[in-house]
Amino acid sequence: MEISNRKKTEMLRIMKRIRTFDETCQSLFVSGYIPGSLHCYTGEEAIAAGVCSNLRKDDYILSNHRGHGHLIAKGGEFKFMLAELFGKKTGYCKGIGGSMHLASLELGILGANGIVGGGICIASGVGFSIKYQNLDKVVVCFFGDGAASNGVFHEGLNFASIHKAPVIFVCENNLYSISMKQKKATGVENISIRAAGYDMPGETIDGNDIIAVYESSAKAIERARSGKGPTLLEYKTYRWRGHYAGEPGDGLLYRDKEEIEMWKTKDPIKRFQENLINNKVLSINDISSMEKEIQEEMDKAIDFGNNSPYPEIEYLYKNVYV
Amino acid sequence: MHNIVMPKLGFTMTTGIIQKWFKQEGDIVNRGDKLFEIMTDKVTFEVESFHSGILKEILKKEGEEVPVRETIAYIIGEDEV
Repeated sequence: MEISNRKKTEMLRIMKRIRTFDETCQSLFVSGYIPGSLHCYTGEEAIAAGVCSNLRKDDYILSNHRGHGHLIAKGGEFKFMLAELFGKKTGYCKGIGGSMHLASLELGILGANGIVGGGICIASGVGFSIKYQNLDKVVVCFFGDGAASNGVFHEGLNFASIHKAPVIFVCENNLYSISMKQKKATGVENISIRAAGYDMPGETIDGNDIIAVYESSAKAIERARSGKGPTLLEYKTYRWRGHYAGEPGDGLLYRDKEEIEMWKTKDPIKRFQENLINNKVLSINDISSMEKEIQEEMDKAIDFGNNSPYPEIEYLYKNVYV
Repeated sequence: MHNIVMPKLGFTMTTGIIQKWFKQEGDIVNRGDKLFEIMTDKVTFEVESFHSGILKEILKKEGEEVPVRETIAYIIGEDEV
């Protein structure tokens, strides 16, 4: 598949933005600046960047609790995301939603979600709605290996299959649901084989290879857009840190150090960056400039978050329908 | 100058006990360095430094129990020395 240098550069930029944002959030969290919980995407960046680089602004995504990466890849701005994490009223959800409820209808982000598998049936419904209204849109649903064994996975994929809804189901298999190993929690090694039960194509791919992610998701998105129906994509990856920021041991209590170090050698960003430098797509100076710009955006976002006001107490009663 | 605070690691955490300082007053600190270790009723946690600079002053010593978000030390930039 022919991918332009411009596109490749943009995908590297997205991955680096995600890494900077979540590593900074991890630090900000343990320094006491972020109330509420947060779940870092560090190590999984190629999936969000590769998939969302095939999407248009008016396509939709459903995300999960580990959603900052998806949001940034779909166009989320650091300052409004961080303001939300700080609980300030300039955040995407006016400061009342936090990390797991970030959403922006304008950007087609139908929301991060704190319920495991919570986005799957929503995505199937959105897909049905797109088809019913004859719109030229698709919806991508991100979820993890744990969610793939939740009852809603069966219902959601079955529904999307019956209606040939334009949904791309993306399972980010990082081998752990909190502290439970995927091989102990799942009856199959490769979750993608479950696609056969729903008459849709299913594929297992290296989630740390951004080109493989880009190409496989492009195919599935094209299939959905042309009316042929849903696809199940399983990307194998690994999170470097614990399940949540502040977890004792930061992932070491239930995982071996050797396993973590092994996966760090497969860093999707380092891999792609080396590829781009070796193929003379980008120079070391280009990379430095990119990193400097991203850090500046991050610093400005921290200032914006710190200087923004909290929502007024009256806001508790807004948007409550009882 | 940056305030280093007792982190709030969970919804129910109200205080933490400083178990150990990994740096002394006057030491250079880089972002990501282990700075101090805390203990709560639930966990022991090593806190990394978000800031780079020099650890100017430690306000709370090993063994002290501190409420969350309270300042326990100051880090100053090398240009502020």
